[in-house]
Amino acid sequence: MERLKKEFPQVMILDPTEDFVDAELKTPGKIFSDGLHLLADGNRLMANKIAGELIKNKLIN
Amino acid sequence: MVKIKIQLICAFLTSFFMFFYAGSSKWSFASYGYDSLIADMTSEVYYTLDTSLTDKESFIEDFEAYHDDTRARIVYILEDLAEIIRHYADSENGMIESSERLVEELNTFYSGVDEIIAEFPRKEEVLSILEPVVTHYLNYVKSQFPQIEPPSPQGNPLDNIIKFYNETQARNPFELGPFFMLEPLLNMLREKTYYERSEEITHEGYLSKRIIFREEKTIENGELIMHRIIREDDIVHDYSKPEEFSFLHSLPAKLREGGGDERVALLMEELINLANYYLLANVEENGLYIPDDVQLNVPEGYTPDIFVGNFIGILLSFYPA
Repeated sequence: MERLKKEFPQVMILDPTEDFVDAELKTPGKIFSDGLHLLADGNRLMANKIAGELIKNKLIN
Repeated sequence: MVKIKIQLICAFLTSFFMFFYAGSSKWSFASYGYDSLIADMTSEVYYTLDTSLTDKESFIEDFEAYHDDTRARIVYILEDLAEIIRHYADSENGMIESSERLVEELNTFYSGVDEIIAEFPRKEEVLSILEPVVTHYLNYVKSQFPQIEPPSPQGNPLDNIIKFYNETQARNPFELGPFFMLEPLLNMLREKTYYERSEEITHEGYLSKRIIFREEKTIENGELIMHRIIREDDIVHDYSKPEEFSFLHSLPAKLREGGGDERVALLMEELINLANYYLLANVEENGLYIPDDVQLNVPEGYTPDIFVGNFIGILLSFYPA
């Protein structure tokens, strides 16, 4: 992750791993359809994660 | 528009990344592929943030609207396609080693597609669009270019195919990269045209038909003497004939005249624009033969990137959210 941030400074880097794992533990089977692809709850989680980053960068309110 | 590239690092997710960007106002699928640099560690999502999305709620609403199951499943199909390409690119000698392996790959792909699209309301369209392209692509790679480096695993599958064909073209104008690659798709669209204009072809009959192409070539002293695409039902399309070439270019208008689906006509136009783009780009260098009655027009500023965005956008229009 640090290497990526350094090599691609223009890239906004998010790490949703912890959020996904936490959510999967709380609500098993609600985040991924197959361990890889996100279900609706997973999408919402990711959307919120991205939105938080966009707000932090003042791209949205 | 504000372009944003968001990189998601997920160690437990295998190597896939997706690009999304907004068209005029909404999210749309743009391109997709693998990143060899950080493969198996990374998922990437590319967005163009619509400047009308100024608050968190509208962003999330738009994001979720895009990532509904139906559209996501189309992405999955493309992922399977990309997986085949990646697998082929990763093999030791850079190629699929044997016809058995190729058959195995295709079978896996088809079974995956069948499974994934089982819930699609119009699944036959996805199959009929993807299948001949994939079949033809892999067959062509296998049969024609055993010594050539495979395309980069970066970028989306369609781009890879286009690049590959562009790089490995073209002893004959009608073997030219994307135009050649897109022949099966154009054939399929022509079939669609006939289907929509003829009551004699039953819906079930059309749907159950698996279009398989076989190509025949005669090469003497390094020169291509004969090249034709033969369909399963032995209909021969010889694109070295000007009338066939012209007919392809007239398909969108014919479809519209016949009251056909506007989206299919738009798909045709995109394919023809792309073909024309490459034909015009190579007409002098490769001494291409263009029939006199064919006008090769490309919209100003047209590029393969525009094609990819438009093409996938139209494809998705078959599956309203």
